Amino acid sequence: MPLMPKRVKFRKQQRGSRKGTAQSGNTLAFGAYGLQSLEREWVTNVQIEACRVAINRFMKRKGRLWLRIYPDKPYTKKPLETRMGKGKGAVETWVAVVRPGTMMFEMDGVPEAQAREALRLAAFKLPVKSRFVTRHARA
Amino acid sequence: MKETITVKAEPRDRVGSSAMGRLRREGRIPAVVYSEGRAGENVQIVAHDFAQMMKRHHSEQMLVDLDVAGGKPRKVLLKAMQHHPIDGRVTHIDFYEVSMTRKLRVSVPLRLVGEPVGVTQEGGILDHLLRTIEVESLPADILEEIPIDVAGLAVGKHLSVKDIKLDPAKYAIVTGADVAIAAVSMPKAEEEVAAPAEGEAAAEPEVITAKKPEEGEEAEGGKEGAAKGAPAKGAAAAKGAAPAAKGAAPAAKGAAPAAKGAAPAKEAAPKAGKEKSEKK
Repeated sequence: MPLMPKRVKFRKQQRGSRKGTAQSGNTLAFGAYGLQSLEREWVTNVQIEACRVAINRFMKRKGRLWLRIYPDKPYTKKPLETRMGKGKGAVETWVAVVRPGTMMFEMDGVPEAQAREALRLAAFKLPVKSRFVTRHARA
Repeated sequence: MKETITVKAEPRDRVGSSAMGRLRREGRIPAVVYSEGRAGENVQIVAHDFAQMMKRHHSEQMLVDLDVAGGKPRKVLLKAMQHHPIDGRVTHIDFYEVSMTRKLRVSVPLRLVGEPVGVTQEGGILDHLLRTIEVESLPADILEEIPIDVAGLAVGKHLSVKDIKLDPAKYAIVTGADVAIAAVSMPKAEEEVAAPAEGEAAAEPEVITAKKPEEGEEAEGGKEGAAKGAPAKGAAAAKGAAPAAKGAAPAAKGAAPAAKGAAPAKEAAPKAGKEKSEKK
């Protein structure tokens, strides 16, 4: 079952704004290592799931992983070769709004080299440029 | 003997966000020095020197000697630091001038030392649950960090704040004694993500504001609603069926001349809706 909310107030949403930098969720809150976004994009539930699988496969049940983003925004699309109008399209997937600075994943309980490699593999699955951050070295 | 950290600063007369932006681009960090009962004093420090100093220290709350324009060094506490959300560079610093005879409450980082037995021998995972604690002490005794030995920690065991041994004459721990600092637990089995079977549509979240089907609608579309079970889903199906019926109406109208009358069109509309919902 891909990531999506269990209950929502409305089935569809407007696109919203993605401007600015991440004002919250931009620091390490749980783990010692993290993957921080440097760009803005909508990250889909499939992409988040692919990252989670890639990290867990590399970690082999060691360490802990926190997903700091959640796809709670419905993404709609009209069918192909459809004329404009006739209402908004059907919900195709769910996305998380990621702004520059958003801490997307956090890890702990493993050596830094292992965390770095796991998050490097995860970064390939994402539509944004990202960087590896540690708690002790900020910039 | 504790090392004395000296930070050199210059007075600053420029204020405002655009002036501070220019200041940062020049390689300086805007800062403010304040104390109880005294107005704040604007200063600036060289960003590179400060970054070099911070590389050797873990704590973000430590006592430093602030030297403003070559004057007499003042004992100040590094009270708060603001960081840029993306690159993490320091954008502003608050210095708090302290009285050396009055106790202060500061947050001190905890550093875990050693590899727990539960991790090396039993295959557990070390969880670092608390990273700083609040400690009350005189400014001269402020700790930069507290090392905690976790080597003896087995699976299912944890260390809490009451296990920290500090000199009670100098330090008073403010954080609750029962708060856990570190624990060793067994890794959880990975959740298997079941892919939706073929033909099975992806589940939709429940819409909490969806209107429940009215009684009249229930009589017509009740079968569909009942088959689906959840009232919200039933309502959504009824809603979805409505535009289909409308869309079918023009086709029925087109057929109307053959039928010679508008009445068949009216009948055709719900029929088309029913067919559409049956197909679904």
